[in-house]
Amino acid sequence: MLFPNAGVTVDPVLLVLLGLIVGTLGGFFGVGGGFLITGGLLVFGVPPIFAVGTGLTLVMGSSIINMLKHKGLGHVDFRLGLLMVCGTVPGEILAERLNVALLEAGIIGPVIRYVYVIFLGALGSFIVYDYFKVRRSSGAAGDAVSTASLARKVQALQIPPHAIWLPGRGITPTRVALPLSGIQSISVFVPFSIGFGVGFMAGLLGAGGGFILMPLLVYVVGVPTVMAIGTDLFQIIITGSVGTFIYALGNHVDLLMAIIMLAAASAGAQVGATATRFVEPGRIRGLFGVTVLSGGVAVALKELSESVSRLHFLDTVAAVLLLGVSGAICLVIAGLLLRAARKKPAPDEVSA
Amino acid sequence: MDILRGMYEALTEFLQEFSSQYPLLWALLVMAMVASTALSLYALWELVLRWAISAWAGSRSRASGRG
Repeated sequence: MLFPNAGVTVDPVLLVLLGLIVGTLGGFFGVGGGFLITGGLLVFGVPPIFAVGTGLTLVMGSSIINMLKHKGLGHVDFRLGLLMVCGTVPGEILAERLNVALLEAGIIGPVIRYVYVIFLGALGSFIVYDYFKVRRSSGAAGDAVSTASLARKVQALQIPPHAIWLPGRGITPTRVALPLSGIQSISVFVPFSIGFGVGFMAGLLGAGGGFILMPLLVYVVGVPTVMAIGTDLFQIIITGSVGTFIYALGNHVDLLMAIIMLAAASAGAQVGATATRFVEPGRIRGLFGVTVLSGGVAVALKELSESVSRLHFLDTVAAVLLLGVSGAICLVIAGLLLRAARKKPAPDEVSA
Repeated sequence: MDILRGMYEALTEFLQEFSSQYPLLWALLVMAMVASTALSLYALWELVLRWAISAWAGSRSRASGRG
């Protein structure tokens, strides 16, 4: 089938499969899946600029569906999300400036890939390490994390000013309660700084930033895993929308391709988001760690293929590895959902 | 079949011309289309799942009533 904007012929079945994977992982992990979509579309022969633009468009659409699904499950803390969004936009603007400077210096490609490899490798390794550590010590895969004391310290941080003047509200304290996230009191500058950092990294790496934000919320702020997943998606809608607008303005989005993948992603989102009700939070984090690690290995292989001319084939190996691992994790998610649904009712049904 | 092919060709022509001639309107159209499609798909799946769950619950209660 010919896609008029990108000017390429792609088998729609492949797009449907990619959409299904992205929707499932997005609903389960609270990520947009930008790095996965771009990698997949490149393998299908879509020009790189259209792969990124169309990928961001799908990130925006699938995040809307996933966020609404998680909102229905009570997994979205809008107050926390809005506080983070205030920091995301300046972070993205700053990253854009840095990207321009790196582009002028002619080192943007390797810098971004090295940052990706180090970041994904370190993040994935830590999450997998934490999963096994908590499992060994408590024997359960619940919401406990090894950084609980760090999260308590972050929540107790006293950052001046302790009150600010707001139009219409007068003098307002800068500490807020986030009851949905189980946080009694936290300085607004903590979520603002996290939003800024994630916006900066997302802008630098050209991604939605979900793979950074979800672990930050869980391990540093102490937000329960499922709440972090839903709130993260709210943030990705904003970053995805900004990216979509910019790329569409430059005519680098294939609308038809994005809509086909979105239809498939909506089906995957039902599986992924519903599975978060049944699968233990620790297991969600463990699978997320494996996905992030495979992303790191894929980018490292891509960097190798760019730097050594004889190893060009590693480019395809990287994309196939990423899609293969993601597809396998989708099957694991579907399996876990079926097994858990047969074994016991959802946790919220038990508490009700 | 010819009608479908004609519609696809007309759509292709529209997408190519509109995206190159009106960049700002095109960007807004892309965002509006993706957002509205996402909302419609969400609503559709909610209806399908609710119907499926109520049908499943109905069949279970009928089976337990017979038992």
